[in-house]
Amino acid sequence: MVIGIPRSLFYYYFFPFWSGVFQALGLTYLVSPETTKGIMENGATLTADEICLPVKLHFGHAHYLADKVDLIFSPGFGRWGRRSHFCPKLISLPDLTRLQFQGTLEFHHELDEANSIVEEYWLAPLRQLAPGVKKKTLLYALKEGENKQAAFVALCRQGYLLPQAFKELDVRLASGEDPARMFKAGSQQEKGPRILVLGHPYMVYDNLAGQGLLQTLTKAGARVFTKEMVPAAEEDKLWPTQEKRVFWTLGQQMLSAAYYYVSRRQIDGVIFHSACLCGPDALIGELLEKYLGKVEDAPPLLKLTVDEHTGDAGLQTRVEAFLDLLEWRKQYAAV
Amino acid sequence: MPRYKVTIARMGTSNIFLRSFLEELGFEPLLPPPITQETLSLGSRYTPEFACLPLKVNLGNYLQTLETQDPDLIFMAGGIGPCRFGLYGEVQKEILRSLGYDLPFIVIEPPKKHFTEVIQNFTRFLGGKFWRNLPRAIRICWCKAKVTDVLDKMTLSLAPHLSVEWRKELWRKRDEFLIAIDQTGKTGRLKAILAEAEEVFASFPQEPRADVFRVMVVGEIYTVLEPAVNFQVERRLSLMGIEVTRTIYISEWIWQQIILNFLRIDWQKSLREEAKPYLSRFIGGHGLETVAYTVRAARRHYDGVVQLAPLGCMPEVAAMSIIGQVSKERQIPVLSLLMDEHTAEAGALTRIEAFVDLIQNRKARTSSGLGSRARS
Repeated sequence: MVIGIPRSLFYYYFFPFWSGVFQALGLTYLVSPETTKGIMENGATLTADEICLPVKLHFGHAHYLADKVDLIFSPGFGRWGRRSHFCPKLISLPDLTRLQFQGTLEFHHELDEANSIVEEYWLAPLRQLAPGVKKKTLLYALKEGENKQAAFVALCRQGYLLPQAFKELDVRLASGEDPARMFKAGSQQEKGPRILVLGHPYMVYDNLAGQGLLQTLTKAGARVFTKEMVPAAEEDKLWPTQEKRVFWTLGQQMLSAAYYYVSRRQIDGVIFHSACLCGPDALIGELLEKYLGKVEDAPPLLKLTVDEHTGDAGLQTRVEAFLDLLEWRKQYAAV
Repeated sequence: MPRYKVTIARMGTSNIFLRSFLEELGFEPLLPPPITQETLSLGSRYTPEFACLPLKVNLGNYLQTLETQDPDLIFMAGGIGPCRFGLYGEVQKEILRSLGYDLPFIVIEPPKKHFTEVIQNFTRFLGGKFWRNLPRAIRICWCKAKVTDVLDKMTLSLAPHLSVEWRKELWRKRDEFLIAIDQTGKTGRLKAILAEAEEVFASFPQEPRADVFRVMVVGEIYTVLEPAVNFQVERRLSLMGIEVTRTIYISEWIWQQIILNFLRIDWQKSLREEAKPYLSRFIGGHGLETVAYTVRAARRHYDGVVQLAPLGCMPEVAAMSIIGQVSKERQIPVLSLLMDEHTAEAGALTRIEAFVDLIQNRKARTSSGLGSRARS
């Protein structure tokens, strides 16, 4: 029995939890490879034109796995905390996947008010995957997953970019150290422009959808900040001019991250990286622009929208031009 | 306290009862001009490209009102997600401020969770007369909403039984009665108008017809209710002699969303069960309803389903992928029309006409024993 985990959507954040749970139960899983052109094209063919790029990619990855595994792991993402949700497409994800692929199981990855996993949604499908296993063992596996996730989140907050944090987590777990307790700042340059990259992890870190944004930035010597690095106490704070909390968790996190870094004057520029046809991003980008506009001497904002046709070179040129602009701005300020 | 001038955005016939509601409460309502292409282009000029159509049209409404009149306040409904509508207020407020319009933008959140806040939003501007005027305001508002909806239901169910000329006459009369409803301020008069409409409609010569095609209209509330953005699809189908069943009526929506939700009565249960084989959860907006009604339409042997939604509408896009499957499995034609400010009228109309041809041919085939439904 092999479980297929598509390398898409919240693989880029919750993978430590998922892999932790499956490992604790002795289940085998296979993660699809980095996105290729073929995966993206398959995804686009399998889904309606009107659906956003991340969901298209998800279907491409699921399609890659379909004939290699017994079950495709495609959980729904509904509630996150008391008042927050994911977007409607992610809530209905198990239903959308079920219509396309054989061998799916209804999982719902939901977080309760204390930001811990809603266990009841996991117990039923896990019982099917691991028949005969006692409830106590299942709960223990979930706890293992949560511990691994907490260690990963701690690494992110220490300044690691997500792929580095994944790697570092594995290294530290293999060497038997407690990953959460060790403090070692992420390996980033000390000088260079400080850039806040705001975007969904499944866009920013995806090999194709991300369009090498992070590579371009690090090659140019920039220091990258992301919303995953914001301390827990600050990740939900509203802008002073914001009258209503955004009810999509990730959306509010992006706005709060901008507020955290901008109000502390810790960054030189903001890049908003969004997916074409992403509903929440359309509004979050607009709010971000308006809130930033009210800040005196606010860092410049670059908005990038990516779809399956966006060329690599175009994005790179825009990012480089943006970095040039930041450089001139600095020199001008120094005069 | 001064008499505050209030403006709102338009949505179908809802301006009729909202105007009375605000007036009776003690506001001076200022309504935006009817929605035209101008409204759409004005609204989309200042809104993000991938925002949904209602947000753009709403903003166009506000800007057109602000050009010629001077409202003191804007009233807008809120929401708690996950549909984007709940964030319209915050975004529209920011856009208007950046354009230099610094008037209070009052967002009325669902009373189930924000009861005191809702009341305060009214008493702030009305003081004690809010409570004094409220019963009368609710009464006229509810009666008008109900009467306009009954009028529309009567029109839609009568149309297929009339000749082409009489159908036109029917819709012309419907528009006249709508104006009469808008102009009166008395609930007694509303009953008289309805009685008159019943009498007039009954006098139309009906033709017995064996083959009435039935189409269910599902989708997102704004695009279903606002003829200016859906190219009057309901009226067009009705004029072609098709029996249109609209699944969203504003009076029912008020009853469910405001009253029943406030009383925590689960009105959605039967819809959830109907959608369950395809969609197991509430996904915001009218997504669940769209799936449930499509299943229901197939079960009740409708000839087709028309889904109306703004382009990029998150719940409806999810629902669209699902009802495609319902259509395949249950053999019911579905036409999904997703609209934005660039949608050309001619293109949409061609698709509607082709769809009507399809369902008519299909029925002809089925009745001659060649169709697929005969097998299923």
